[in-house]
Amino acid sequence: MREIIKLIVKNQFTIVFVLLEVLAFLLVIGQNNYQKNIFAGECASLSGVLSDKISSVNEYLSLKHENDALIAENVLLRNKLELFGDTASSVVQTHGSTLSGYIFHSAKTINISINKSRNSITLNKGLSDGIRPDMSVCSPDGVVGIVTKCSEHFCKVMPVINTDLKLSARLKNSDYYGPLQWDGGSVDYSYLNDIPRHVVVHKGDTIVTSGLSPIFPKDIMVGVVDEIDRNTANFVVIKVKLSVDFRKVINVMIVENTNKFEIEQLEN
Amino acid sequence: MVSLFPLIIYILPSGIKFTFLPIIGFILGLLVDISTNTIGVHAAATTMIAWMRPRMLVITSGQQMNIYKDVQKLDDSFWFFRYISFSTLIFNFALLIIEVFSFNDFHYTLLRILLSTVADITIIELYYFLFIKTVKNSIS
Repeated sequence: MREIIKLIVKNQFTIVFVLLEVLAFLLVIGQNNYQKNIFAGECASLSGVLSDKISSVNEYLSLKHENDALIAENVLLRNKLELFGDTASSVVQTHGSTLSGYIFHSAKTINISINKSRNSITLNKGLSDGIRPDMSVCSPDGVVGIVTKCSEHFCKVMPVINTDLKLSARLKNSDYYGPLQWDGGSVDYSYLNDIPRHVVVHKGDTIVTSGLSPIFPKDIMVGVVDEIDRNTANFVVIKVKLSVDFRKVINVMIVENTNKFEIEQLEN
Repeated sequence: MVSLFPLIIYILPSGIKFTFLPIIGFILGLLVDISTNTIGVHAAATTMIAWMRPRMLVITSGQQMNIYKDVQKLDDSFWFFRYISFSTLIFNFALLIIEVFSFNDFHYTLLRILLSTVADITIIELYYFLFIKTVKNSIS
């Protein structure tokens, strides 16, 4: 305490000066209209900048709430769209000529299992919607699976994450293809076998459907290369990160190949 | 406006206690402010030069701090001119910045500061040498 008083006494000249200057400044902005206006204007713009910053921080902090509101709105719109879509047509898109014609039917998953080695998905479209076994199923992210059984209004799909499914897939940049088969492990990864050793494969390369069976259209996304196992005899085994997240597959498309019957008849 | 009154601060007795300098400056400036209806503007500037005075005396005389009390006894009109010039420049700088209260069009403000300083120095020098110095000399 004594030290503080000493310090004040020692610097009293400067302290008196600072106090008087502050007093003079307060008088200037308090008693003169011109300076008062300028000062008020500066304060207003400063507080404007500050409140702008504060509100942007607040906006960021309330993003979660905004997100929830957007999701709720999305669900509402999606439901309305679904009502509209059902009354219009279940055929959402067609492309290609009659020689390689594919028809896309929209569908929703109503049940899915991902924790078994022989997983399955159930969709809300069946025989009455024109769905037949051996049609392929895709989501906007990529390949989902193949239709195996149909009832009148539902169908059962064998997904890529089923150890029984072998899917013909190819490396997009080198055109080498092989069977893609799941090992029963993580639902995020599958394995592409029978790729020759000399093929140059890099992590991150895209893997798509080969188009060599009449089930899947060509060049539908399967996943990307995650790991390359070169410790095998003549072929490398490629660990593929699947592009579809089977934990959240909701909206899918069932792909119908209009030429499938003709091709199969010819081949047999 | 030409300000003659800062001369009072410049020629205060050298033995005056430092702490009183800003107080005298503030009161003097406030008196001027009351007469010109610019409360606080001159007070701030005059307090500033009152606070600068001891330093200004030392800087302009080129002497060490411990002999600043004798500086004013130097009978040197060139030193007095330097001392008045620097002090008046600082006074006008503070005064006009506070009066304009903005850094927009700063070159105009700077021009005003320089012209005011020249005018002030002229008037202060004339007044000092015509009325104060001669009276002092005639007394002593």
